[in-house]
Amino acid sequence: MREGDKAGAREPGSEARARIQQWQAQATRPLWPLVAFAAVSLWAVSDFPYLPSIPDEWNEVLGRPPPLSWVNAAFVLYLFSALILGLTRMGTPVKPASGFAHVGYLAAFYGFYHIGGGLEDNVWAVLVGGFAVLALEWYRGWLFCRQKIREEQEGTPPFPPDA
Amino acid sequence: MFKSLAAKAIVPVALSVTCFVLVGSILLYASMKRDRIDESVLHANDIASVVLKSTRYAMLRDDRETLRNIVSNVGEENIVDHVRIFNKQGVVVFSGAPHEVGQEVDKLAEGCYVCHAAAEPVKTLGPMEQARRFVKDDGKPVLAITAAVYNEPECFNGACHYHPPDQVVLGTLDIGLSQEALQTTLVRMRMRLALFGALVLILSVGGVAALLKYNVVAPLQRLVDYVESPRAAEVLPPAEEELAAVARAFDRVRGHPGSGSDGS
Repeated sequence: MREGDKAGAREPGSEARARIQQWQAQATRPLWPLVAFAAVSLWAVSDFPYLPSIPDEWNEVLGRPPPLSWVNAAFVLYLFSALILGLTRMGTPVKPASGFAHVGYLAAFYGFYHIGGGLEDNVWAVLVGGFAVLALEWYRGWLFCRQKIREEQEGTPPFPPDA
Repeated sequence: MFKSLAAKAIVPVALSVTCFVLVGSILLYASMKRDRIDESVLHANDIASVVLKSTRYAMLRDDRETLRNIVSNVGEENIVDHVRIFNKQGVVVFSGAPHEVGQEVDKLAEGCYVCHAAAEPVKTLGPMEQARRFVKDDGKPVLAITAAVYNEPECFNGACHYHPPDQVVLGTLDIGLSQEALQTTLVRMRMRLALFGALVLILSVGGVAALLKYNVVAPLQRLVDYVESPRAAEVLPPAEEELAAVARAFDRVRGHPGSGSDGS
């Protein structure tokens, strides 16, 4: 009850206290998406050892891999969109997602670079970009939880209740 | 630390800009590196083609002394790491390094297996498939081109020759070019990109931080000083419209007009 004391807010009830604990737990939860991404990245940096090769029949069906310039363009577009969305939603009442979807997208980019033969040169780009996106998501989640805790403590939500 | 207004504004922007510039630089460098390597492969193919053309007449005449001289002279060039001509059996017939003559190469060795992996060897290869890149034991990078010497009507119709018409490939030219110059260029390119990235970062992050400090943090501090001052007249309110309005509103709450009430 730090900010609440200064603002003269009422003492939170037991329900509010439970909700505050919930938000606090969410704010300090382990960074599982970052851990998952680090694991995928470690695998990618060592060029996906133990990954079974695609059977020739599948290769024939799938055709040639996309050119690396297309993968690069798609990755830059994805990264730019993710960062812009992350920044513009910072401090808004939109609840951040867990970040596992981004881990999936980033793993797909590792895959495309791998089959396109450009993983060695581009693995660090995906690693740095992925770290930025996930760190931004985590920071947004942390800010969101802090905001919710303050609302509960002050009892005056600045966001609409249904947000 | 992360609760301050400046940190909340600067940390996400700094992180995003830093990572985006870094990613852009890595992708740009990788693209330029690939382009330069492709260019050098085409250039090496041209050199291999020039060597083959310059030895063609000597081969037709079966003039081994001239051939030996051409190969030896080409091998003396600084850019050339090695140059050899193999016969159909994979035996070195001519080489820039005379001690290699007579040696037999493994057809499944790097540079040979591209054609000899299957029971029936591949007869033609594209320019990119003819190239292989490797690093020698002394750490020097080499780009090697393996170009086939094809049978021609002049070869099997000549009075002096014994190549049957159905033999498509008569031998192979293997020429290796030093890639040290390319590596130096790539290192220089990397340094320039790193410098450019660092300057962009300093400019963008420093610019945002400075603007935030002078336009938001400092005026807010002046407002805090004004509000906390026991006598408002002693401290001037911030000049920014929005913060001056807050100061005037505070004066009204406080019950006596201060400097902020004059609309300055």
